[in-house]
Amino acid sequence: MPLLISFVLLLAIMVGCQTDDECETAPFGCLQTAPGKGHLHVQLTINAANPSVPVKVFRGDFENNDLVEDTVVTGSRISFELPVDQYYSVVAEYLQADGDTVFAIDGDDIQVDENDYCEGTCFEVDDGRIDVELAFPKRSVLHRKNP
Amino acid sequence: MRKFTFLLLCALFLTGSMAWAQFDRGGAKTYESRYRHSAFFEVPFTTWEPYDIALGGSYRYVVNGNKFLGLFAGFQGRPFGKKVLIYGGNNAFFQLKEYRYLLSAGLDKRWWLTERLDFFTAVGGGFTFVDYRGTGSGTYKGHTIQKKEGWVPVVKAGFHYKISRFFFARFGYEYFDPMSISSGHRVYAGTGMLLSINAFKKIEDSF
Repeated sequence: MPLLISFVLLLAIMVGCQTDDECETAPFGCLQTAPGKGHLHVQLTINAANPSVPVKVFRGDFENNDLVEDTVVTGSRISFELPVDQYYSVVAEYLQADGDTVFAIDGDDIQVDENDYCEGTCFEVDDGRIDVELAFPKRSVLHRKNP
Repeated sequence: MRKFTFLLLCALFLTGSMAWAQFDRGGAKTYESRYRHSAFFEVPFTTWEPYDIALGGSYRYVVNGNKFLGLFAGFQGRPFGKKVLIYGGNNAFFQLKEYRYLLSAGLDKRWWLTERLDFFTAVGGGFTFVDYRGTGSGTYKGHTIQKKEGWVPVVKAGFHYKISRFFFARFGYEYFDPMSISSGHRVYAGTGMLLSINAFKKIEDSF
């Protein structure tokens, strides 16, 4: 019982000693200036019908037509280095075996997070993640062809 | 058309059943008449493909406590972007990440089975709308994205369990047409409370 009381008292002292003025030490590799660029990581499907996939990256929604990247991708992952604090949309164009086309669309933003430490503010880039992998088997496509 | 026929049958069942006298089990009529306002946190979901889940809330107002008849209004939304496929015309499709929402309202009725348990049905309508990631509803290479939005019937049925005087849980079935990839048949789970000062005092006392 005395051990328990001692433990509770110790805990109370530790908690009581903490004030709002205390600060955390900055982590290793802290960026003290705001970065201007981040990455947009894109995942896509490469298969027999689509050994290479046309990919377009737009600033904002794609219908704004603010094209920033236009390329053909042969791997299932690609990253684009782009300015931060922007929302991006990606359109990947796939062909189906029967000649149908699927435009896979996704969007995300690249943001800069700010955290305050004892040494000052650290900046961290929150990269954008885009998933334009094909998700549907052909039967689903046919099911919704004539809605 | 089939959906609206189904909805009409449900409504007829609901209104027709009001003529049946119900035993006032455990003072249920007094309970319904006295506490007219309640709120629910709801989670409709599927445990089969295509997997889906929504989070939402609803409000219930007892219109007639003697007949256990209420009005409900609610909102629910899918908290993540789910991949859906939409036909864009001329052999082209759009695969989009969809956030789907539903605003609904209707009538509900309860049948008390024991002092704590009742069976409930709810029939109504709602407006479902979407938000797609990466687009509003644009045109790409001559193919236009047509947002799958509109008025839909909403049906709920299941068991309502009174945990205490103020708090309860619900479990059952829900249907609404999400107008895209999933079928609309869902498992419905929810929890709720009476909106009364006594209920809020009970919560306050527990802290």
